[in-house]
Amino acid sequence: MSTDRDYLAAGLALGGLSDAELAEARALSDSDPDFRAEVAAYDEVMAETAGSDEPAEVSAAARAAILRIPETHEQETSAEVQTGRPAESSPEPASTSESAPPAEPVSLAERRERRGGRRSWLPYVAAAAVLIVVAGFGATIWQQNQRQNELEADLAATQQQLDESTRLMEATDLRTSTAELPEGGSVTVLSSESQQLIRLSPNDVGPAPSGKSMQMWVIGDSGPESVGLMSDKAVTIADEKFSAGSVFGITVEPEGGSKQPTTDPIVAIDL
Amino acid sequence: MLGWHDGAMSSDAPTEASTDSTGDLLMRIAGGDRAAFERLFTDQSRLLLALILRIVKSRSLAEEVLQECFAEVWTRCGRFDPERGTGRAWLITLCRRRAIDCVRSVQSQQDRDFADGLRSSAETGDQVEQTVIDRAESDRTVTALKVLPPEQSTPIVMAFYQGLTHAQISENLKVPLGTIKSRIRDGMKKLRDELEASR
Repeated sequence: MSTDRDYLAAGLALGGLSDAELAEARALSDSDPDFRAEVAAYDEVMAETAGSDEPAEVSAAARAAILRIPETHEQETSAEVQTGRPAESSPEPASTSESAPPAEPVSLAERRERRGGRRSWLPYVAAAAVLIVVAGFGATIWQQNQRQNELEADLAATQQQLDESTRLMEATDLRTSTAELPEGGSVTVLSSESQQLIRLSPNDVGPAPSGKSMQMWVIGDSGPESVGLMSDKAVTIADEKFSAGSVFGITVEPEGGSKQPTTDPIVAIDL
Repeated sequence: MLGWHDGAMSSDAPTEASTDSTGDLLMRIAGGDRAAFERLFTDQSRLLLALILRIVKSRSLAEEVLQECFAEVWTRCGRFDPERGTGRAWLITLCRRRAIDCVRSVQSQQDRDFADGLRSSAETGDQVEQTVIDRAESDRTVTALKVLPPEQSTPIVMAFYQGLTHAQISENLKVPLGTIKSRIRDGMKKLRDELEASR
């Protein structure tokens, strides 16, 4: 194998080839079994390299979600696997005219009568078909608009979260604290008084006990203020004023939360 | 000699096609075997998460990517071809691609400086809070790469874990492209030789 081929095989497994090199390497891989074997060997090298890393624990929530995948996702059929285009719509159904049984012979008069009858209802059928198509298009467009609106809202929320995270991480007075929860798991709280931002990241936190909710509070001079119910997702709190000496707390409350804490905090972190 | 057997995945390291236990699981999953899917998760998820975490540098994002990868495994593992490589290599390639796609997707929503901070290694200054939490993990050198001199391991890390082209690596390191290509080729060959010697 020449030097260039060595580089191309290694680069195809590693990534980072230029477009022209990638095209050349793929062409070689498709046409040359020796080259393909070289690439497979380098793929294995990178798999071994990645496999030598220290494993990372998967959270209980991610584990549960992944193990539910077989219940929520359908597998590609073998036909889709061959084409490699699972999202493609299925082809038009084949015409059944060839296999349909031959029609009974009818008289010319009867045929004319039938044809005339067809003429009488044909416009209504056509109109109905047009209505169905128009309604279908309308529904599709509406669904697409809805989807687009949802995506735009998601994007805006993500962008806002990223902006807030950036502000938080750049804050000179950033504080970081981690606390264990009595029922397992932990929460990490990042806060900045100058940016008036609090970021809560749960880690391996299970659901609240049945009939209960975990509620977050910012406790300042004027007492506790609810900042929402806690889930297993990270959240940024940007709309609750706090100062040095304020405390971030989590309590277990009746399902749906309370106006004021009814139990002692299971977590209390100085902000 | 490399510490090839330090990781959990190494117990699964195939010495020949017939011992590709991950590939066997993928073939069973392609037939709808849910027990095989769960077994694959148990065997591989921690190492796959470590790989993804190195790329996306955020635990919450990494777990989302891991979930997408296992969804793809379940729905599309009929595409795995044991004649073109091992199941483990197929999985690693899938997860790496998904993780890099994720980083690029995030990048497209952010300004350039922030994207660089998220993508590049920890010493360039990280700006998301998860990165701070995961910084200790990010700073570790992948065990297998310790066998290489830094001038070879650095461009390999930048290509594999950061998804940079060799031209971008050349530009970032201010080293001629031809030199970068030679270092990548020689480094990969050395890694391969070490792997084969360790079997």
